[in-house]
Amino acid sequence: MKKEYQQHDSKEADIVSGIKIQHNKVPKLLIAVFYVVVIWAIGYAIFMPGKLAVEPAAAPQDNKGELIFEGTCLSCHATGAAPDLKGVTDRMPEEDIKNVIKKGRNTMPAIGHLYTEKEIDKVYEYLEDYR
Amino acid sequence: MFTDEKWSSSKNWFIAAVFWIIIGMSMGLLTATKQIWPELLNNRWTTYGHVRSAHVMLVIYAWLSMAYVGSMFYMIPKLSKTRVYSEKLGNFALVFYNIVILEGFFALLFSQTEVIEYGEFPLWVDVQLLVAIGLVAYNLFKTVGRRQEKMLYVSLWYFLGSLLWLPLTWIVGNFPAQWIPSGVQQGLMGWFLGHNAIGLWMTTVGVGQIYYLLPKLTGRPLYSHQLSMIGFWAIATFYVWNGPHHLMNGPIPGWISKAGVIPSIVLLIPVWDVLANFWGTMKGSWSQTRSSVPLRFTVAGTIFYLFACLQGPLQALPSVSSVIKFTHWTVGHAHMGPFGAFSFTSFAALYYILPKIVGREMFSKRAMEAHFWFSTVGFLVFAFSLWIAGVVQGFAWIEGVPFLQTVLMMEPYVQGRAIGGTMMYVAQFFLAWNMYKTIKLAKLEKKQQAQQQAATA
Repeated sequence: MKKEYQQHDSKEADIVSGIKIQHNKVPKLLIAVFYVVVIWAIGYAIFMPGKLAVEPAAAPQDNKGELIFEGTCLSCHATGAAPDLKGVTDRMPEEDIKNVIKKGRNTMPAIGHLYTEKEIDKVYEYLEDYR
Repeated sequence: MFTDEKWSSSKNWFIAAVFWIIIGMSMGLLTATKQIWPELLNNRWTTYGHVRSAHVMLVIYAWLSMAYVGSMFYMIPKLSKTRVYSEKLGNFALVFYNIVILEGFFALLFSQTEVIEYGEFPLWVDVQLLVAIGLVAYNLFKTVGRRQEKMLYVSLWYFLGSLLWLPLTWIVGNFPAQWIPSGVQQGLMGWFLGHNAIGLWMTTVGVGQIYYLLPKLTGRPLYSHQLSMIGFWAIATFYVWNGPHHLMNGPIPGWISKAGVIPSIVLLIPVWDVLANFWGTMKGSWSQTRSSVPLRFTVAGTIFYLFACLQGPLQALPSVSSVIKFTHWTVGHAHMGPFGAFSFTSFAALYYILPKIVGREMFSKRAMEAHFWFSTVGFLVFAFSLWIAGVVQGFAWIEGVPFLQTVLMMEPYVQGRAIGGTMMYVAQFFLAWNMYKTIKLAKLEKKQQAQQQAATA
């Protein structure tokens, strides 16, 4: 096949199934791009980890209260769908707040079954500093 | 029972395809509307999850695949300079395929799913669909086997490759997943199908269409056959590795991750090959896009293909992926290939082939124009809404903005997407109406001609 191509001038066209085809050379820019891509690929294979390097969060268990608060409570309490919780520990006694978390109140669902007693304590501790 | 008429399978596959694009896209529009009014049609059959997967499966395996088979039933015999091996078998496969799609559609609405992206149909549907695809592939391979032209034009390479790869991909993605342990392995198998349904079926048939339509519509020779062959073999070699980049930064080993990233970037080679060939062939023909709607669809489709394939490799990089993953961006990207690029080339193929089959021009040029502009502008509104939304969403998550707040931030973009989507949907009615009128008038004219001949004779 290759030889047949070379016999033609690059501008001359063959006809295959009624479609004219030319045999122009591969553009030089394209060949340059191919080389760059191949060199990049080899470099990537050797030198890169293939994943995003993530630094492990320092002492992950210390902020459990904050994590639960931001992940769960704020879904409603930050959007105006439910009251703002800033300084809530000044307005309600500790027992009542924990009870609301466990059993719910008005439109707030009960979420006590999702967390342990210790975790709810952590959330309360976080609320004390949240103002 | 099944007609043996010349080109009948091509025509019938196209008719079925256009029927399904309306159904499939209405599922998509319902999905988009549910993001604005979640209560809409909220019964046990049309929940968000059911409708979304039905949309994906229908537009890909019903609309796009049927349009592909329709164009292959015309282009392959033309390129082989022979007749279709069996028009009867082609028509039978069509009926069978449609029954299977219908089964799959209702299975999804009745909440039977495999939860594999692009492979959601349950196992009992998968098996039947494989048989249907097999029948089509057998018929078309037999056609090529009887060819009168020694050399295989580049489109034939693409079509034959795709007809082999689709069943392979379908088997690997759908069947072993039932037996191998769940988790990462299953995810990787699933994404083998997920990406190769795009890479080794949608892309390759679509590019084959482009290579067929460009020289035909412009009347100019293909720029370089050698270049097109490099592109074909590069795609055949590298595309199959792309699945793992969907699990980027996930719990997969580093080497698998790299084995996904590198081929994704190397794909720039076949894509730029196609584009170089496209530019070389189009040289001096750009003004024709003003008058010829099929050519304009081909050109727009090719340009969307370029952009989809500029986004794709970048998205595979771990750093980029960490921002845009799971956001609206991905949805915008996922529509650019199947709709922007390959639905467009299929529209072009339909507008090119149908007049040749029925022996009459398309009924309305204005409807074709409307189809093009509604599709293009609608898609751009749709896609840019999602891309902007995705970037905003991705960075908001990184900054730790409460999740519900990021949902509320998306409101205007989701509405923009629905508006763009409505335009894309409306566009398809111009296509369906135009096609109906063309076929009906062609039949009428043939009848009149026959009568006239009978009267003069």
